[in-house]
Amino acid sequence: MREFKIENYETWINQVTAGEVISLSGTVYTARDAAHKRIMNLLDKSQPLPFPLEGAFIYYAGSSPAKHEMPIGSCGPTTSARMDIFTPRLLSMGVKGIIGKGQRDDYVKDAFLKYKAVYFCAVGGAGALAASRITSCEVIAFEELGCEAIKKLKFENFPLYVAYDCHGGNIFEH
Amino acid sequence: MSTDNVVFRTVFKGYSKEDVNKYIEEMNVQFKMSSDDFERSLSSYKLKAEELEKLNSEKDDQLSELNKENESLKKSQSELKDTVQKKESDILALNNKINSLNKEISDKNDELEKINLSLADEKSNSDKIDEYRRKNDEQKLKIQLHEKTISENSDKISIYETQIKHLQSIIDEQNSKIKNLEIQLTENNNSNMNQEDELYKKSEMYDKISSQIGDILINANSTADSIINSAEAEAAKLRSDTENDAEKTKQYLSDLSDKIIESFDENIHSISDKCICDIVNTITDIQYLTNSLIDKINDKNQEISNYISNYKCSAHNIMREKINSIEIKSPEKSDLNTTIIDENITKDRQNICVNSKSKITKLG
Repeated sequence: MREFKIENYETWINQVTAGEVISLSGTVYTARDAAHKRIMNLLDKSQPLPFPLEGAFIYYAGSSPAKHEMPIGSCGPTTSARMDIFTPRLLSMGVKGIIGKGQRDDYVKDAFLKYKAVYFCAVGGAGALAASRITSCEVIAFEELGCEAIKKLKFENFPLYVAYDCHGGNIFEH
Repeated sequence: MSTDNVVFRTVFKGYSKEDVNKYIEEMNVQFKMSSDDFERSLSSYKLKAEELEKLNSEKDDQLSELNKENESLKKSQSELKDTVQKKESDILALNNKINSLNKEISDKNDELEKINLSLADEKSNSDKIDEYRRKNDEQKLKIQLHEKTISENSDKISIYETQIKHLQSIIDEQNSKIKNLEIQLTENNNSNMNQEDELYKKSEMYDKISSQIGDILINANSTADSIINSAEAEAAKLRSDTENDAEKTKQYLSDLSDKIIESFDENIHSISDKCICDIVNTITDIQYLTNSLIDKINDKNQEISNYISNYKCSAHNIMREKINSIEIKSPEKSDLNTTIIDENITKDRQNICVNSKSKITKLG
């Protein structure tokens, strides 16, 4: 299993292939349906965003509250298809990696190819395992959304499948 | 196929077989006809369904085309809006220009009137009048030119207005089409929405359950960790307590053993000394007794040996005498007799020895 750091994604984002299992470390931002809608509103009104989209990695997850001196509670991925309508716009604005679960619509897949971004799949239902690979968690926006608030997470060797690569590769066609 | 008005002729033990068979055959024919009808209607429905599917796909194509057209129309509409706005601004500018020119004309007319008045006053000055007339002609020409441009512009404006009206009508038409399509789309979407809602709810539920499971696992892990930690701490405590206890017990046992060894040494020494004294005493007693016994045995031995030698001598002598007497009587049997006599002698000797030994043991 190859290990990569998000901070230098430019060096490896073209090298990963669909079907490969990788270990990812670095900063990611969580966002689900409600947070995506808020981001879209901010973009429509040309207002500042809670985090820079250029080179960002987004994790479709809503974590449980932290327990037992851990930085975060259960933090498994959610179904990505619900975020399909928002994804191409975010990719066009520089988002380079998206972590979720399940297949995407064709136009979203094409957007990944067009904007040279990668779609990763985390293991569904393994929230405890995911939480064990997160070293820090900080709410950075929309705190009122509760578990759907945008959080800044630090991954440490987070295991992921490469679902769509930059070259049109697709794990679901394997 | 109703069974009303069906009458079977009765015969012995029930209805007429022929009537029943005939009725069944008729029924079969009727069923076959109706099934054929149904099949025909089914095939026609299938054809209709296929046609409807085709129509549906055509409608979809039309919808996509109309969408495209709609987008292009929207684009052209926005472009036209821009041009209309531009033209309107042009018209406004031209109107302003016309107004200014009209004002100029009215000013010039005023001037002309003034000049005419002055001409009337100064009829004598014909040169001036000519000049004013010339100026007037020039101004008139200018006015005509301006009027011409105004008319041209007004024509253009009217053309633009007709174009705008035409485009507006097209836009309205397209908008009505779009509205119809939107209604169709919403109808189609409503059916899909229910399924999507269900899927959304399911995925939400799955997320909730998986996060709950994750939390449970985290709790279990942390509880297990705390249990292990407490167990380890308890084990360490137990180990240290046990080690302390063992150390204490060891110390106690070593002290006790030292004490026991000390007391035992003292007892052993005294007992052994006593024993040794006793043993030495008994040994000396035994030695004395054995010595005395040995002396007695020796004495007895000496006595026995004396007895034996005496007995031997006497017996030997008796034997000799007897042998001599026997040899005299039968010299050929003398050898045999001597052997018998020797055997008797050895037997006697053995008996004597046994007796002496038993005596010695009795004495011992």
